[in-house]
Amino acid sequence: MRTGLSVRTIAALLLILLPAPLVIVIGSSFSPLAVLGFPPPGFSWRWYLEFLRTPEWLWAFGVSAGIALASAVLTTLVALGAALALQGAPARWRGWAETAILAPLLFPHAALGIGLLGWLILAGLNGTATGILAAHLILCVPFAYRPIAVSLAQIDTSLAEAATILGADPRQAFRRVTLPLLRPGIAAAMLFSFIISFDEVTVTMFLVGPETTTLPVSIYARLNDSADPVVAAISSILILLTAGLVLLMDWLVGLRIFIDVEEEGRHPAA
Amino acid sequence: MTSTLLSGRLQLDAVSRSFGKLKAVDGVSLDIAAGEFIAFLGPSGCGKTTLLRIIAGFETADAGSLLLDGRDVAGVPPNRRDVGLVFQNLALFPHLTVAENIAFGMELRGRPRAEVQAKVEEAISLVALGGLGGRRIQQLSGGQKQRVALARALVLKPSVLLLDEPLSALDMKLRRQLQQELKTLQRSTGTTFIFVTHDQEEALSMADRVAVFSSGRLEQFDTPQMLYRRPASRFVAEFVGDANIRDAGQLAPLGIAPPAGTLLVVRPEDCALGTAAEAAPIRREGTIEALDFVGPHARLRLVLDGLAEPWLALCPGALAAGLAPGGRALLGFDPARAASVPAA
Repeated sequence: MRTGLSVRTIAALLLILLPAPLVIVIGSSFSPLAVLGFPPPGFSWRWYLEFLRTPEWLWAFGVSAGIALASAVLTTLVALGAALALQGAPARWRGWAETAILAPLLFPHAALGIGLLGWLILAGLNGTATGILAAHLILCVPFAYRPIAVSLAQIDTSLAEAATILGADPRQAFRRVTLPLLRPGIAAAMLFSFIISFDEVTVTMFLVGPETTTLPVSIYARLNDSADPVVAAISSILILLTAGLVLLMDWLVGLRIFIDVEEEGRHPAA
Repeated sequence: MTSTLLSGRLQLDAVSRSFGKLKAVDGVSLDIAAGEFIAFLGPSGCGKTTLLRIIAGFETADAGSLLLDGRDVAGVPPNRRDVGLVFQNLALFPHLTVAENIAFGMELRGRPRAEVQAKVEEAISLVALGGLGGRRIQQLSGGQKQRVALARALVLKPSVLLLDEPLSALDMKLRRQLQQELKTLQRSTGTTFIFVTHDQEEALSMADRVAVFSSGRLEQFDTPQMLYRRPASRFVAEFVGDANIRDAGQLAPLGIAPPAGTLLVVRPEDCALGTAAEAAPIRREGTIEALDFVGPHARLRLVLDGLAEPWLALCPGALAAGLAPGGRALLGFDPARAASVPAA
């Protein structure tokens, strides 16, 4: 299919504009000076070393990574359970439950932050990693539920029946047929959850404590009182990490499966 | 699985299944011998697929019993029933290769790898898919997918293999070819086949016996010849092939009086036209209303003099005989060759 010149121009502009902020961030991270600026006046690893030498930064990074990892795994399990439970539910129930799951998307994050803080204080978990994890679970579930539910809906129900008639008990049918076919959805859910948890600032700001703070919140706090390029260096590391994660997922489970599914739909069996 | 030489006898006794107010299967009794090729025939929504799912164990009967080789299988789940099923959409596992699809059932049973491999090879060659074992399902054509589905079910040597309209998605030519292959396969394996279809030609050409269903009820269970020549009900006479079905009132002008409460079923090919009709016991002139040329013969619709209902006739040499729409022709038939069905 040939696309028009205007469409291609817009696409080209988008492709240039999308990574534009990244260029500024990564470029200024190599500045040898103590002021954030672009283009950098020279090249140095100074601010990367600064990050690696500061225990507070490393601690925040560790907390963020730990919370994001736990959040990715737990959120995906919760979303998988919800999707499986709602699969056969009556349409009305399902509608209500899905609205509830997606609700965190509808509320202003600042309001959510205050609300969650209230609950965490009641539970005695404010300022702890567990508290932040609980909040991130709520924030990530909408993003994890969608890809899993969509994957599940695409699986023909007769496939599980086929496994059954071939001798599989319900658990074997799930493990050998349903679960492998849910792989792209589960991978996407874990990836989304990890990245969202790792990047979250607005809600988390309300929940951090003196001992436990996350990397993005620390960056934000640092930007408020000084603008040295260490935040650019950290951001560059995060960009690299996220890109690495996406590539890793692609290598492990093949995000291409998404494309294959669509291709198959577009060209019905010859 | 069983110790008997020939397994696969299936006995259904007054099996019923309702969904709300709808009686999907209504008191169906069938005795299917081991190694028979059976077709379940009927229009969509007649209950044939529900009955198939009851036999497979995916649906439970509200009433009646189901015996497989003499054993009541009511409480046996589908995975322990020794019944195979080829799904309408085939339901091949898209994340597995052809060989892995076929090996699926044996691997669940924990058979040794060497045995699984040998059986898979055997099954692949049985359905003429040699060399395609490593292919992904998406890379196969419709006919090849069909064969994988068959191999996957047959490799487990089930007592009964259920096939739910498996050929309906294929084009006519491939369909004919696979019908023949299925028949050969059934003979060579000796497995009881139950083939669900809404295509009467498919049912008649493939099956040893055909069960005809209508609105959940079994209309007739008989050989294709008997079904065609001696239909048990008006529904069967109409559904299986074309027929001129007439009651006493409609036959009176022709001088025929069928027994009370019965209808006469005259097949179009039993109606002779022109000179061939002159020797027939019943004759009547008429006007040709329509003539469809369908290769080996022509299908005609005639309005006979003094009769309201038009008659259907099949005539091999219609064109050669100079018959054409609007023309006149003599139609004749022998009521002794006709079947009769209850008028109810």
